[in-house]
Parts: sequence; C-alpha cells; structure tokens
Amino acid sequence: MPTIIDPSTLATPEPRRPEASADECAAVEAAQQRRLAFLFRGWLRDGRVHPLLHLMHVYRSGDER
Amino acid sequence: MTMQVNSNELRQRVRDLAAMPQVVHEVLAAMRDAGVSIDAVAARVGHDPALVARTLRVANSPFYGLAGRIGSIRDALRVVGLRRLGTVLMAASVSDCFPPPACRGFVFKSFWGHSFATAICAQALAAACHLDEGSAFTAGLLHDIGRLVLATYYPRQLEAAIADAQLRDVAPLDGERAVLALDHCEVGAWVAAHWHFADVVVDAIGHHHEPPPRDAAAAPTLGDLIHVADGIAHALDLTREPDEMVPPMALGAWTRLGLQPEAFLTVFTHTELASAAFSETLAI
Repeated sequence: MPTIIDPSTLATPEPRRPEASADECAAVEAAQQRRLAFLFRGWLRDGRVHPLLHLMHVYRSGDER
Repeated sequence: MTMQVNSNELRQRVRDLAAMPQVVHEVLAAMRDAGVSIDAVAARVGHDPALVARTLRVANSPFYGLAGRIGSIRDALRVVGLRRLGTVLMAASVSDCFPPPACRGFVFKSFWGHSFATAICAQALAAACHLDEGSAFTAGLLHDIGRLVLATYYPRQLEAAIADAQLRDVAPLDGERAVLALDHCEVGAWVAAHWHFADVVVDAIGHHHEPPPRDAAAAPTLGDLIHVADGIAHALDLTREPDEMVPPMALGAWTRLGLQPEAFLTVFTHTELASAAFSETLAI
C-alpha cells in the first residue's frame, strides 16, 4: 500500500521576520506622538484646544475608543 | 533693500498669466454633469495635441497596469476616468504656467503634494457634508497657488519671508505678512479670478487661512471646508517637511461641517491613501 504523504509537510516554511516586540511598538508610537507635538507646536504654545489635535492623537495611536 | 512686494506690480503679473485653457473649464463642468459622454469629452480634448499627449501619458503610467497599451484618447479616458482627467488637465495647465521656481525653502514637490492632499481631503469632506465635490477639489488643488506665484516672481522676497517664519517659528503666513506686506491667500484669489473660476472658489482660496466668522450653527461654506482640509493635510504630515507646522484652525469652521469624529477619521485614512496614488499618477 502506497504511503500517503501529506503535502503540507513538504512545503518549505515561509521565512518570517520576527514579530515586533512590545518595546519596539511603543518606541514607534512614542516617535509618532513626538512628531504630532512638533506639528502642533504652535497650537500647544498658544494653549489652543481643538478637536483636530485630539483626533490626530487617536488616529496615530489607533486607539479609537 | 526692501522685501515688500509691490501689490500693483504683482497684480499686473497675474493679469499677464496665460489664461486657463477653455477645455479645462469644459472638462471640469463635464465632471459635474452625470449625463456627459466620454465621446463628447474625448472629442473636445482631441483638439489639443498637448492635452492628448498628457492624457495618454497618465493612462499609460504604471499606476493603471496598462503601460504602453493605451493608444487612443477615448481608451485613455475610460482608464483614467472623467473626474481624474479634470484633475490632470488642471494640474497640467498650472504646472505649464509655473515651472519649478528657484526659491530656497520652497519645495516644488512638497507644494504639489500638499495641494493634492488638500484637494482629496476637501473632496471627501464635501461628499460627507453634501457640498459640491468638484468645486471642493478645484479650490483644494489651487488653495496655495499664490505661494507658487510668489516663489516664481519674487523668489528672494519669499525666501526672506520663509526665513523670518522659521526664525520666529511661526506659520509661513505670518512670515509673508511681516516681510512682504501681503500673503499668498490674496494673491491666490487674484489668480483664481484671473482664471475665471467661480466666485465661491475664489473666496475659498482668498480666505483659506481665515474664513469669515459666522455662527457655528450656520451651514458650512466652501471656505470652511478648504480651511479645515488644509489643516488636516498639514496634520497628516504627508510631505514630511522638516519644519512642517499645522496652521491655526477656526473652531467655528470645523463645527459647521457637522461631522462626527468617525467621519473625520475616515477622511484621514482616505486622504493618506489617495494622496500617494495621485502623486504617483500625475508625476509632478
């Protein structure tokens, strides 16, 4: 009786980059927030309160709660 | 040497600008007419060899995946679409009038990148607010045209204005007013009027940094929309200019648009994605 080979066992596994660590993700997010603070520096200096500033923080952090 | 710009001299330079080709206005009008046929527009564009060449170049760009296979203006229109054709023709006409100026601090590619982003954002906001999308796109694309005019005709003066804004770390508009005694908004309005764009477009360009104050509950105007779209495009940081700064935004204009936060977030995403595709297509 022929041996049935499961094709999936022959497939070469796709090379994968290691997943980003929590520290790396946090560093990217922190850089994005620093850039936002730079872009809105005039607003922050003037103490300007505006929904766009809040929404951009939400947009860049992906936290849409 | 005074860096102030002679307002009368600049007005004369604007009057001497080449007219926006009639075909551009016709295609923009056609974009607003749902019943217009591609054949009718193709016939009109076909009279101008320069526009035919430009349209074919765009249709054969790698963006559409048919590089080198589109040979007729009719096929090009089917691929590009009427809406984008209007954009292509308008951008081509403007860029023909203004080759890249030699002005330190004025980055031509970033100028166009920001203009396209504002146009795309304005169009998306207009759709959400039930305002005219074509006018929003046009006003968005041309909102900073006054800056291009200043960079072209008064490069040393604009350099001084840019340097002043950088030194004081204020918005470019403040540098222009302090050094040139005028700003790109009023110059842009002169250009749009010279090119016979509708009054509502001229006003939106002229007031895009300071829309006239009105009741927050009033209906939004095109000026409100361009003001907000310009701020969003700066905030999205698409050009990655090192000294990028979000200009002040009137809360009344934002409120009058009457959009929920989720709608704005959708507009942000659309603007980021579509801007990249547009810049690649038009290759300006």
